[in-house]
Amino acid sequence: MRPLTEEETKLVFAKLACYIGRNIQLLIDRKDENYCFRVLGKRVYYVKESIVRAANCIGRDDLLSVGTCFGKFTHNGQFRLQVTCLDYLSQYAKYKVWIKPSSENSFVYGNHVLKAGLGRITDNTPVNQGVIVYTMGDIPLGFGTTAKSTADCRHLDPSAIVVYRQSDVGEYVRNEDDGLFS
Amino acid sequence: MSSKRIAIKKGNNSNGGQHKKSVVSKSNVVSKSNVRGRKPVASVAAPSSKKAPPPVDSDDDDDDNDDVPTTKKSLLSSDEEEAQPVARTNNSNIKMKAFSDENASWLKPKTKLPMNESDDDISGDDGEDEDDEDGEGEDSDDEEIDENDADLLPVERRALKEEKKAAKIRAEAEEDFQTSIRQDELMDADDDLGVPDDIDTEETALIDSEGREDALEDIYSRIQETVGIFANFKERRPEGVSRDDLMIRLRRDIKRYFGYSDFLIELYFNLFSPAETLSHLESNETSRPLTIRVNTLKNTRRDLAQILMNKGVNLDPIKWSKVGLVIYESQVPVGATPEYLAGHYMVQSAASFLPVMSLDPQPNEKILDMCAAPGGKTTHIAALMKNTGTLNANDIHKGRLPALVANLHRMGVTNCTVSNLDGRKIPSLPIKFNRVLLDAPCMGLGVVHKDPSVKSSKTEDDMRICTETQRHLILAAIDAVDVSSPEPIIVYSTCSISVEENEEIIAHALKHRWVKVEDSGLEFGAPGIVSFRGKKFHQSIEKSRRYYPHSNNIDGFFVCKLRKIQDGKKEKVQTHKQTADDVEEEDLAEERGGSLLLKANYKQNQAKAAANAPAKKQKKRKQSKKTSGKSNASAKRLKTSTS
Repeated sequence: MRPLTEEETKLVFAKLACYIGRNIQLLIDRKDENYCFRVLGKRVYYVKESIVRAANCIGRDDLLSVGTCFGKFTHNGQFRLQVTCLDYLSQYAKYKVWIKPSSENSFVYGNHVLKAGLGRITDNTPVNQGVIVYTMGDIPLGFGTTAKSTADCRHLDPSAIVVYRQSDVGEYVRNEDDGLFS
Repeated sequence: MSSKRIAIKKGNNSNGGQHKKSVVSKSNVVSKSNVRGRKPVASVAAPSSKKAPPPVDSDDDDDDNDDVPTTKKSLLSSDEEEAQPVARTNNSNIKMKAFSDENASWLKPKTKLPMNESDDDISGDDGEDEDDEDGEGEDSDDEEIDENDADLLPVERRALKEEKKAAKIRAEAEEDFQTSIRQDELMDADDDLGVPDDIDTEETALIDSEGREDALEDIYSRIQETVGIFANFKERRPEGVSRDDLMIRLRRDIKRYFGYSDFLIELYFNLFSPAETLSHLESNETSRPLTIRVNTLKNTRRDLAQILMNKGVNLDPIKWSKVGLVIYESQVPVGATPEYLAGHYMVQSAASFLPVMSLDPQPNEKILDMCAAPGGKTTHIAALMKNTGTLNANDIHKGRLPALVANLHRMGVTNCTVSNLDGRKIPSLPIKFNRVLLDAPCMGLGVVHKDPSVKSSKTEDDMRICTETQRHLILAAIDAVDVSSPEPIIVYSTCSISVEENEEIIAHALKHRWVKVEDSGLEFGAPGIVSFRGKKFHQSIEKSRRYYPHSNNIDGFFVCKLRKIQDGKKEKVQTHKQTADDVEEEDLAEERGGSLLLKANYKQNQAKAAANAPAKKQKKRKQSKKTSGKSNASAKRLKTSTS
């Protein structure tokens, strides 16, 4: 278990900034307790320092996970966010999309968000912006990228894609064996 | 009969190239087309080479023979003189039977179907074929009918056939009914309950039952009867049958009806009375109600219940828990709702709430879950800790860890580390915990409904391996606890109901470590078993709790709460009889180093320890003064038990 290198930090923060912008500051400088990022293998974890201390006692080969996994570095060095960081993203998200109950299932099965399923969207959302997807009851379901800005959304026909799905909560069930966590 | 006919027909149709079936079939049934308007054609069955000339155009077969004897006679006689097989129809294979003696005048020949292979009648043939194939089995009936009522319409003939069939079926049903009544009477006979006269009691004792093919319902009713007898054996015992025989037969029946191995049946009968065994085994056949646990990190029970009810889920809160809901029926799949995926609840059996409730984790503690996968109890602990402190989840099986990590992330647990260690190695880590939960791997006798293969696959060897692992694990769990914590608690739980995996393991822990059994904090459940088949355990084990599917309607479970009093191992030898204890003492010696020398020295050390007993007691008293009053009392209790 080691801290992030400079380059790795840049990659991770760049990705996070897509979704939570400058709120990354809030992730690092927390008032209640000190959190930090650690790397285990190829995975990046966001974890309290006290837990890191406890985990230091366990050998590297036997330790599998600490705190929350945010994502992993791919073979070519890109950083990919996973659904496991959804809780933190949804706390600090700047742009949000709410979908109707009828299309909740569809999104959770892995489909994109269509205009027909769109309930609400934050004002002035630009194109290609990272957004968090919620149910109408404010339960976070996943995140994605907008295909259209808020203004354009109003003029779309119902079957047009509004948000490209990047990660959703259904992956806990769909991708159990797929290397999501092992 | 029919076979004869076929043979004959074959002979007669040698010049056919006929399809055999049609040969057989067509002769039997009179085709509708032949009833009226066509000249009746005689069957080929009769071994007569003579072919009668075409008789008078008697339209139908109902003509009375008496009416026109003379004319017929004349006709026939005249025709007979010609007496040559006239190719009446196109087919040369049609043969007609005629009576060549003086009876010819009044005896009508049997009229059967012509074997019409002509193309015109193909459709008709197919229909006839079908009929005939049905009627093939009824050849004998057919003949009888024909002999008696030759002038019946074919429809009527078929009706008669059906009636005879129905009558036969009724007769058979009546017979079955009678035999079943007889069997019931045998069963209900007051004198000889269920042991029929024809079966020798010695035979039942020899446990050979392949010969008797009893229906399952019979076996079940017999099981119930025998259980009823055992409920009040003195008064209800049948004459001439010993208790042993009855028990052997009961076990045999249970084995056949439910499918358990001998080993397990033995285990159940040692644990329960026959009546309770039966109700337990029956409850093993059905599932317990589906229950979920609300994740208090993300939602409250009331809100989630409301959300789920709006989705069409019929549920109720679990009375003895603050976070449990029992689902009766649901229109949506409970394990796949968006709320489930967002981590608002966990599908978990109600019994799994109990060890965590007993552990009672507090915020800001260091807690270890030794056998954590797939993570139901771990996430429960984290919820009770409110994501503070440190939670270590460990499991020896790497393959089960992805599920554990997934559940932790899904439920929003942030204070957890996941490790893949053998639980026995954890004490050697430079970290000690405040509380430890050990949900030990077991034989799973309490969750048979989830995995029915347990019934036949578990053997005594499995039990031995299981219990050995459990013994090592519980000692490791105790060693991993920091005694100076405010509440150094270890909770041991299994989903099994055997004494060997539960109370015996606690007794093992009590013997080798300075721990004591605490009140589990659970309001319901049967107390632990203290005396079992000659083995006696420490009285405090009564505070542990046992749960059964047939009495609590939750999975079979065992929970025991231990409090650590002191570090280190117990080296004192029990002064009472040394039986299996001796073996365990040797195990201890192996733990400590395992050389023969040590074992030899061990006996010396035992003697020395006995001599030093009073000195050790003093030491303990001093130590107990340092700690709180609670452990003082407990230390005293320990002294009295070991002295």
